[in-house]
Amino acid sequence: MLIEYHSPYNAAFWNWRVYFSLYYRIAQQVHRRKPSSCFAMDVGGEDISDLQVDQIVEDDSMDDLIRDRFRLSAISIAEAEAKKNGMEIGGPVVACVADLAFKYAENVAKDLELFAHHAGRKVVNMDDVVLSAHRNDNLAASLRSLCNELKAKEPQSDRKRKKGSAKKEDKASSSNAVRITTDL
Amino acid sequence: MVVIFHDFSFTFFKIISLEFFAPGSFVTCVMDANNTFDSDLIHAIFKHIWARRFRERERSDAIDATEAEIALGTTKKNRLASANANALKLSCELLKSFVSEAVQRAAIIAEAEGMDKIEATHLERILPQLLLDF
Repeated sequence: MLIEYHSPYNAAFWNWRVYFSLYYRIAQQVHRRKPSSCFAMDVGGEDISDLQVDQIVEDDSMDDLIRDRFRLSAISIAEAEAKKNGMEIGGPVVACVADLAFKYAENVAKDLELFAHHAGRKVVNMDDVVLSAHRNDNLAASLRSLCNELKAKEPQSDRKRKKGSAKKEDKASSSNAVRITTDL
Repeated sequence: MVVIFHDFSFTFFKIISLEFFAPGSFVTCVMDANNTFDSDLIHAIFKHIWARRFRERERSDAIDATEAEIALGTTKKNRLASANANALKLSCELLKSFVSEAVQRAAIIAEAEGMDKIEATHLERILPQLLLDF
């Protein structure tokens, strides 16, 4: 479920919780004057337009929402893993691991985009993901085996469907042509 | 060294010693039913980051592009990236293995110390090698 940002006056979006959290975040930013990525330093003395402010506000709320959801999943995975080892894991430790994983996810996203762009593609592929894990050989090997598993599962159904639909289309078009000529 | 779990019995502590803890070694490779990251969540994260980078590129292109570049057509097209479904599944597994590895390696250190709770000091010690491996 992603928040869809239509207009600032969309009543369904602006319920009191979101409004309060956004207000809080704007107040934080104004108070801290932290240089976020949107306050680009190369823009010099340029004033930030209203559109950019809206974008910044939306970005921050989306960012925090995503971070929280990611943190929840990471915490559950980490706790399951610790339980598997028969150990307990401390709260700050698991939060730290979740934050590290989020930073790693950001780096992975950047790498995937760069690899896909380098290959002249717009869509990120499985090969890009396998390449992004190149630093560790074992990790690369396990990802490659997963990749082959996924490839082995789908192409049979996909190829048959593609071949079948192509054949059906040919038959349909040829039969249509026949009908037209006979009608004439 | 890759240890593959097919069940949840935990015997590898008896097999390995701390010597395996060398660069390039790998503790876990879980390939059976386990909770993992949600594919939609990872998709949302990637889209968010790609959209942010797209906007930054647009902004810097508007500022930087010299007239000669535009005339020659040497400026690269600014495309917004999107992800394949299988690529998302793989990256879910990648991120999950990051979290699993961190916890497993810290658990090894904690076990070696004889404690039953993973503390921040254990995480601290495995962190450099973890970041180099990922």
